[in-house]
Order: sequence, then C-alpha cells, then structure tokens
Amino acid sequence: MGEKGLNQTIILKTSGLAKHFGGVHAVDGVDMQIFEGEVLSIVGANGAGKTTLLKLISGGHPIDRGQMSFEGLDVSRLGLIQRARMGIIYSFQIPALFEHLSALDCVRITLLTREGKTVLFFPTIEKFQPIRSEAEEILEMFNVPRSFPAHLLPHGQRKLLDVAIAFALKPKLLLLDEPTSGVSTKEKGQVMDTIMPIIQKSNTTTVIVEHDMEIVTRYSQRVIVMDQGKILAQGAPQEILNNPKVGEVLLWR
Amino acid sequence: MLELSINIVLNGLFYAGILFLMSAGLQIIFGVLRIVNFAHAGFYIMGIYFTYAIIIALPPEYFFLIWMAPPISAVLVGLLGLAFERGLLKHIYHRDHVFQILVTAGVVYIIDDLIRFKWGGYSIGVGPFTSATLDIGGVVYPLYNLLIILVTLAVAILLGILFRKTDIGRVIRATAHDEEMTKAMGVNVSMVKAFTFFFGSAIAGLAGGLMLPVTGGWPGMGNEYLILSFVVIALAGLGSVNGALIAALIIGMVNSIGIQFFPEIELAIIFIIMVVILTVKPSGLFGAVPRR
Amino acid sequence: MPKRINFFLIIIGLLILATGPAYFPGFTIYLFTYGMIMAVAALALNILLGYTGLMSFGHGMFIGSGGYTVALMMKYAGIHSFEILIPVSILISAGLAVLVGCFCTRQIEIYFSMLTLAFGELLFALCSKFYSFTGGTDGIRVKMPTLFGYIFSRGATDFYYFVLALFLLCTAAIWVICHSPFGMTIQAVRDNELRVGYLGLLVMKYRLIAFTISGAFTGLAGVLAVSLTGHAVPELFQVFTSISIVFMVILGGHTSFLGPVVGAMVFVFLQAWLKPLLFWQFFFGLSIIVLVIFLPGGVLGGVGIWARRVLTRRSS
Repeated sequence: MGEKGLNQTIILKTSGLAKHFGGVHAVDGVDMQIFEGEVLSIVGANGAGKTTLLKLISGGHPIDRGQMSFEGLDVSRLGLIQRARMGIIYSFQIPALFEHLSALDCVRITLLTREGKTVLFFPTIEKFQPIRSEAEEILEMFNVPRSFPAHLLPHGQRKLLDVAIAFALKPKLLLLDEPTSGVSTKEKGQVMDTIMPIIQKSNTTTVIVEHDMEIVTRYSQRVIVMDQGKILAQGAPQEILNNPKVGEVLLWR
Repeated sequence: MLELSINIVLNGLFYAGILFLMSAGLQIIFGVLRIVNFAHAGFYIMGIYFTYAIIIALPPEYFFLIWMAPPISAVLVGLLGLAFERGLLKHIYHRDHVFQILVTAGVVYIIDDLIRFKWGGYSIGVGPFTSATLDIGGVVYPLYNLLIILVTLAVAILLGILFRKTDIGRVIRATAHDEEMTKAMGVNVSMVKAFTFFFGSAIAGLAGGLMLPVTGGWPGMGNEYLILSFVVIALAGLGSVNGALIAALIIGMVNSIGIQFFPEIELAIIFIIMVVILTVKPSGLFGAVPRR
Repeated sequence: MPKRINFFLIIIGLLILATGPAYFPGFTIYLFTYGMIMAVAALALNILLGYTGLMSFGHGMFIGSGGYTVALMMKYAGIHSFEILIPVSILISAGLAVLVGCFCTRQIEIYFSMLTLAFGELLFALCSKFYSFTGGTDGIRVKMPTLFGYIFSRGATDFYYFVLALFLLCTAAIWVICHSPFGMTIQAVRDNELRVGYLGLLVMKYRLIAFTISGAFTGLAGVLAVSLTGHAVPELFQVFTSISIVFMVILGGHTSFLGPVVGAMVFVFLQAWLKPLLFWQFFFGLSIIVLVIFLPGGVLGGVGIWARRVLTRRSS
C-alpha cells in the first residue's frame, strides 16, 4: 500500500442516511464522505450495517431517510440503474456472473455496455476487435482464464471475475462487497494481491466492505467502523487498531 | 331493478366461489413448491369426471349419497396429484422453472386423452343434486348454487383456520416462506410438499365435483378454466390465498355485471381488469414473490 | 457440438433441402415446406427461449396475426401479392408483439409464461367470436398469393423453393442477430438479470426488443403457413400451436442455434405420422415429459454428447 497523496475532492457524501427493515435500523443516521482516489474500508461486526450501507450507496436498497450526493448531484432518489450509469459500480459478495457465458464474454458484454453498443444487431461480436483485446487484457490482469463458462470456474476466480466485470466499466466509485468472503485464508491474500494493484494503478476510488482486519490494514488508507447502524469510529487503519472502543465491538481482544 | 341486482350479486358470488375453489389449490401449491401447475385445470376436470363416475355407479336406493360424490372424488383427485408429485415433479425440482411448467403442461394433454379414452369424446352431465330453489327478495335462485357459495365460504374459513391455528398449517407456511430454514429446523420438507400437492389438487377436485351438475363436462374444457385460474392468480399475486379470494370476487362480480350488459366480451372484460391492475401493481394485489 | 460434425451436418441438410424435390414424393415435399416454415417460427421462439430465457406459451398469436393479416387483406382489401402481404404482416405482428410485450415483459418470468398464454387465448376467443369479420371458427379460406406476378401452385416445387429461400434468409438474419452485441446482451439478461441492472441497463427494454423481433419472424411464418394450408383458423392463436412451437425448440435443443430447425422438421414429420392416431395427445404430452426429464438438450444436445464421446474415443 504505497504512498498516495490523497486528493481531497469529495466524490460521495451522505448525511443522516438511514435504512430500516421492519423494526431493525440497519443503517441509523450515517454521515460520511468518500474522497476521490482513496481506498476506504468499512468494517464492523455482522449486522452492523456495512453491507446495507454499501447497498444504499449502490442503489440496491432505496434510502429511507437522509441524503446522498455524488459528484455534487443529489442521488438520493435515483435507482440502481441510474447510479450504475453515473459510475457507481457494485461488485457482489456472492458473485453475480453470466453463468453460461465464458469469462471473456462476461467482460465483453460489460465493455459493450460501457461503450453503449448493446442495441446493435450487426455486425457479429467477433468483429469488435478493440473490445476483444481490452477484455483479454482485463482478464489477464485479474488472472482469470478466458474460455470457460462462468459457472465452471472455481470460487476464487468467480470472485475475481465479479470484480473484473465491475472494473471493466471504468467506475468512478467502485464498491467491493466482501471480495474475499468464501475464499480460503490462504487464497485471500492472493485475491487481494491481484485486485489491489489494479485498483491502485488506475486510481479508482474504492470502498471495500471487509471482515479481515489484516487485509484492511494492508490495503486501505482509511477505515470506517460501523456498529449497530452508526459510525463508531473512522480514521487511518493504525488509529482504528489502537482504538479500544473498536476493539470491543470487533471482538479481537 | 332490485331483482336484477340480487341476481347479479348472487351470480357474481357463485362465479367467484368457483374461481376461488379452482385457484386456492394453485396458490397453495405455488406457495410451497414455487411451481405454477398447468395441470391444475386437469385436476379440476378429473374432479368432474370422477364425480360423474361415482354418481352413475350408484344404485338408485343410495341416491342420497350423491352428496358424498364431490368430496370422495376430491380425495381421489388429491391422490392423483400426490402420485404426480411423487412420481414426476419430485425429480425435476432442481430444473429451471419454465421446464417444470412445461412438464405440467404436458400432463394436461395426457389427462385430456385419458378422459377421451375412458368416457369418449362426448360431453357428460348429470342433473342437479337438488332442484330446490330459494326465494331471495323476489328472486327465485337455485338452492344448489347457494350451497356452492356456502361451501366456498366454508373452505375459505377452514383454510384460514388451517394456516393460522394448526401445526400443519404453520409448517406449510414456514416451508412456503423459507424452505431451507424450515428444512434446517428438522421438518421433512419433502413430505410437506407431497401433502401440499395432495391438498391443493383435492380442492380443485372438489371444485370440479361441485360444478358437474352445473356445467357438465367435455374433453378439452381445460383451456378456458386454465386461463381463468391464471387470471385469478396473476391478479391475486402468486401464492396468496387471500388474494385469490379477493381476485375471485372482483372477477366474479365484474363478470356477472358484464354478462348482463355486454355478453359477447366477458372474457375481454376480465382481461382488461387484469391488465389494469397488473400494470399498476405488477406482482398482483397481494403478491410479493420472494426470490428463490 | 463439435465444429466438424456441425459443418458436415449443415452441408448434408442443405443438400437434401436443395435437391429434395427431385426424388421425394409430393406429400414429403409438402411436409418439408411446412417444416421449414415452422423452423422459422421455432428459431424465432428460441431467440426468446434459448437466448433471452423467456418461455412464451402464446407465440401462436403471431402465427395467427400473420395468417389472419393475409386472410383479411385478401378478403377485404383484395390484396393478393406476397410482396405486400409479407411486409404488412410482419409489421402488424411486430406491433402486436410490442403491445403484448410491453405488458408481459414487465413481469417476472413465471407471470410472463402465464400471461403470454392468456393473451394467446384471448385472441383466440376474440377471433372466434367476431365471426362476421373473421369468419369465426370456420376461419377464412386463402388463395395462394402471387410473387411479383408469379403464380405459385400450392404445395408444389416452386412454392417449396420460395419457402426455402425465405427460410435460409431468416435463418441467416436470426443468426446474425443472435451473435450480435444485442444477442450477447439478451444472453446476459438470461443468465443474470440482476447483474445486468447493476451494469446500468434496463432489462425490460431488451426483453421487449427480443419479444418483438421474435414475434415479427413468427408472423412471417404465419403468412407462409396460411398460404401453404390455404386456411386461416382461430386455432392458430391457441395454446396448442404455441406449445407445439415450444416443443419443437426443446425437441431439437434450445441450447444450440440450429436445434429449433431440427426440432421443427422432426415434429412436423412426427405429427403427420401420429395425428391420425386416436389418442395422439397422450403421446404428445408423454413425449414432452420424457423429453424434459431425459433429454433436456434435445436431439442436437444428445447428438452432440454422443458425437463428442465418439470423437474422443477415436482419438484416444
């Protein structure tokens, strides 16, 4: 995690963000900012509201209360499709892939979407050489074999492919929902070692929801700790690790 | 004017009653198995024919027993449904939904030809169980139809009690809500599915049995009833028995009114209602289909 | 399906189709003609089923709309030429698809299947009821239309080659569509509509476009079917027509591009052979069940697996 001068431009800002399910306040009044170019981690115990918060940002859950602005525009009422078009791209915890398409095709269709070419009836896909080249490049970066249909890939590569798809859209804000969940401890490092350099090189603003504090410390510049739907603490990883209140809720005494 | 209104209301209730009986089973089956059973109409028809078979087999001294015919045929149809579920459906639960639907659709054709085989291609019918009528506000209305309305009410109430107050009802609801969770709690989900299919099909069989004196039966009658039950459950929202009751009432009433004034386009009226409501609320009145 | 076998089979198929009239009897040629017409309908349905993941039980409505456009235009507008009838029918079928599709594609997939069935039956009912206009259950007799003045003899060789040409054209067109960016997009919708939304695309839009294209091609099939049989009947709108088309696709294999063609041909010949049987519905229903359970990939799927096994055995 090298030295990176943090650009102080705020790309996303929320105030009083809240979401409840029935009687449960999953997110209960969250004020936060995301700075352009940073890698921000959101941690917390299960049920603390991390994934819900991420989904509120992506548009997967509609906002009950509060406000959210992205690049200066109020996006609180916008749905997930519109947010995706604005560049807020979500990557799934349980990989959401195009199961019968090859990994190459998964990325190709993503690129076609990015280029606005999805309603073309001819020529055939094979004629789009630049798209093919870029898709092959991306898959190489992410270390995913290109010709197997997605449903045949092992779990680790499915996670990588999911991130690759999100990345291929050249997101302005990339949301990674537990990129290492379900991956063996040994492989977690490999997965992150593959993803993070790509993100850093492209200077993509990224928010990661994670459980593993080691990964969080290694890869992120800032950490937000959530507890019961509210922000408990935020700051650089070292500060968070030294914060006794945080230690309590994350149970790592 | 009053007589006309009473007539319309009674006919509407009657029609609603049958629609509900036809669709309640479909809803229950969908709730638990997540399958839209195209063969359900076939079970309705089997109810008609089984009842017919029982009635014509009765020696004259026992004619008072014809009232037993619909319930008996309901049980028979239930067993048929059970065999279908255990023998066939069970093996394709893992398949794509549309293929499950296709299989149930195939069964309709089999049932249709089985009927033709056993009872020929002509229509069958029996006289009404009772020719008694009741005078309601000046309208002379067949007692039998009123009884059907009452039976529907009874079934609706019984279903309500079953699902809310009894253990088995709770188990069915739990399975419908979250199959994995219920299985994890130690419930034999496979048996629940089997029972649900038996029960749902039996209701359809009962509906058929009750309607035999009113409409008679003929091979190929499945189509119309299939469509009608689909419209009801689409309007109601898949899986909702309450919704089926409301939807049946709406369709029954509108149909009854419509027939008085525009007899030619009754089907279209029903469609228009469905289209309007589904446009506003795509999942139906009471529908909220959880992702599988 | 291994590429070599695929190519080989296609060449053989084309040869048979091209030279058939030379040695097959008249009725067989009639069946081939009908088979090619249904193949177009089956390919069209597979755009929706195999590529977009939607099973329509109402595609008979487009065969009906294509067929009745021909019948009604002949009867009331005195138009007898294919060059007008075909484009108009395609447009009307596409319009119908947009109308019905706007409603049906909004819904979840199960509803889609149910509602397409319901709409098909609604059109059947309407068609039967307005007998003064549509000839009701008797239908309307249709004379064979002309092509730029050329008069066909029904069911004979010249019409066969006309249908062959259209069949090849449609197959090529549908192939291009399925392998275009749009074709890949609908496959993405089929495989994970949730993700497609998170990519920023409106799923319903693509389903509607696929439905419209599918309906348009099926309408063309309807034109040809009614021209061949000479009779437009309300039964075309009915669920049996629709399920037959679905069956053809599943029979041939919905996972391969040419599966529907094979399925249509086999079905047409099978139906001709079995229809006279008294209880053919029983066999129809039974074969649907057997097919879905035991041979989900259809004929081509099964042949593909067999071919792969044979080839790998040979090379080892």
